[in-house]
Amino acid sequence: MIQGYLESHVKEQIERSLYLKSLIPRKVYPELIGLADRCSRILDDNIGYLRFLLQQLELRNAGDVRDLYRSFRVAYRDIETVEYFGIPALHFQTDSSKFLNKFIFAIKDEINLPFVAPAVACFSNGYFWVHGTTNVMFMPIGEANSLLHLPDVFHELGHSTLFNRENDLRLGEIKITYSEIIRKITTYFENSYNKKQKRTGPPEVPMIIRHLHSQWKSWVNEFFSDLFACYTLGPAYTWAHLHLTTKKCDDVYKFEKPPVPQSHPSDDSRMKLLEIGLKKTGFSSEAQEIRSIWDCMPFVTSSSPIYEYQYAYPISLMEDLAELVLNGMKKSEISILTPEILNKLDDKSIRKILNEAWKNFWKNPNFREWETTTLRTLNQSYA
Amino acid sequence: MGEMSIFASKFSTSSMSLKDYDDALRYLKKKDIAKNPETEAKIEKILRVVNPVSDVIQGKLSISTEIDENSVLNIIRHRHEKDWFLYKEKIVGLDHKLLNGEFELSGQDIDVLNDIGDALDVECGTLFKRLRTV
Repeated sequence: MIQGYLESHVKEQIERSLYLKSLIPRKVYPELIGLADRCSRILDDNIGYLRFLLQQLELRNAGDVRDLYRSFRVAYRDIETVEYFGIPALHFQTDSSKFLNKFIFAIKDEINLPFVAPAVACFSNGYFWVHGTTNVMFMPIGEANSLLHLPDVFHELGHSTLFNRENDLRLGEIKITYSEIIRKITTYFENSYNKKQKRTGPPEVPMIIRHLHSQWKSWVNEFFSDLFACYTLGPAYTWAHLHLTTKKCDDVYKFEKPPVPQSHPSDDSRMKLLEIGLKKTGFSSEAQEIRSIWDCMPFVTSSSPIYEYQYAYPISLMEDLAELVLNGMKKSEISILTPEILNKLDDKSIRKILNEAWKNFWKNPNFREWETTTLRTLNQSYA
Repeated sequence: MGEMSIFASKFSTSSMSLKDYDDALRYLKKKDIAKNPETEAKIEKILRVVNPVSDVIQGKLSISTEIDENSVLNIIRHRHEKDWFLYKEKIVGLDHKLLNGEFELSGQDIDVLNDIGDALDVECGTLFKRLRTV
């Protein structure tokens, strides 16, 4: 009976996949072709997989279906992934998203990324984020009308780079770098754990160290993406981090005690890492300027970290991380921005424009006027 | 930045691990398999899930980034709360067996592997739900 019921489920999902394929628009502009193709491919793969599961079901004895049931659910979620995070991005396209699609493709070329740039969908209610499987970057609907947070696109491209590292030989050095970082993290926390176990002190400290190791394995994606944005875009990304923290952060020294997981590292640690990154690429005076403003902000002056926070972000580990990521990116031939390169960039360069935007923000009393004119020019260039 | 990128990435790697895990489990369940590179590759796929979970049970820090071993272990522990003391040894024993290259699985081994697979499936479902509720 269960076999028969599962068989019906599988057939239903095959039909749903075929229907979803029929929803993929026949004509899309060039920057969306990759997304249309990817949606088709994921659906085709799952139709094939579901047919395989149907064959397997016929061979099984009653009750011996646990693995097949799980595999069915994997396929079901993959199909829903296309339905929720792929096809809608093809359907809900506006002039703004068309501009941003072309804009991100231009960034991809400018920083020499080897993979297809993500397609943009402007209906996010979770700020900027990228879905690696469908290769869609979700952005809030208003972002095309402002330059100050567009640096965050570079951070999301960092996530895309990590996502693609397993299946792209041109990102082989990123893959090696990532493994090396995980080894460094594990060795660091193993040593701390062993030391703390031998010494007297609060009994919960070893438990916190174990928790932090697990957290770092997740945070490393965020740290990598921050450094990726810092190394490809320079100070503009760090300014954007300050700006976003000012708007959204509730606690720059956020620290969740075990076993509660914390999806992102604290904003304080991210600023420290960006400072290290800026100095490594020659932007020391800019790092100092941003730090001086950061330190005066109410979110810093009116709060302080809890005791356990001291164990969370060891500076030596952050220095190692910044060095490894820089070398990995250089070896992968991703374009690193230094002050010399920034000066030589063409006025049409997106990296130049985004850095100019932040300079203007601080110095130009008519910033909005400048921004509107610049956005109009950009829209004409990437229409 | 939006935390959804993190959940999307975690979901993708966990889901891929589960798919590989179950394909490998189906292979190892077959009778009359020989020790060859294909069998070794399948054991490797199983170990990518079992080994990090076993490491946590043994108090080691796992180097794996393919699954969240702590979350998966919590799900298994919750489901085996009553016999956890004995049950966790079954996971560690199975991990050692596979690490030693033994690939003939008993009925109990397959049950434990299914339990671990079920826990990873729950973890994937939880991550997917986080994405859907953006």
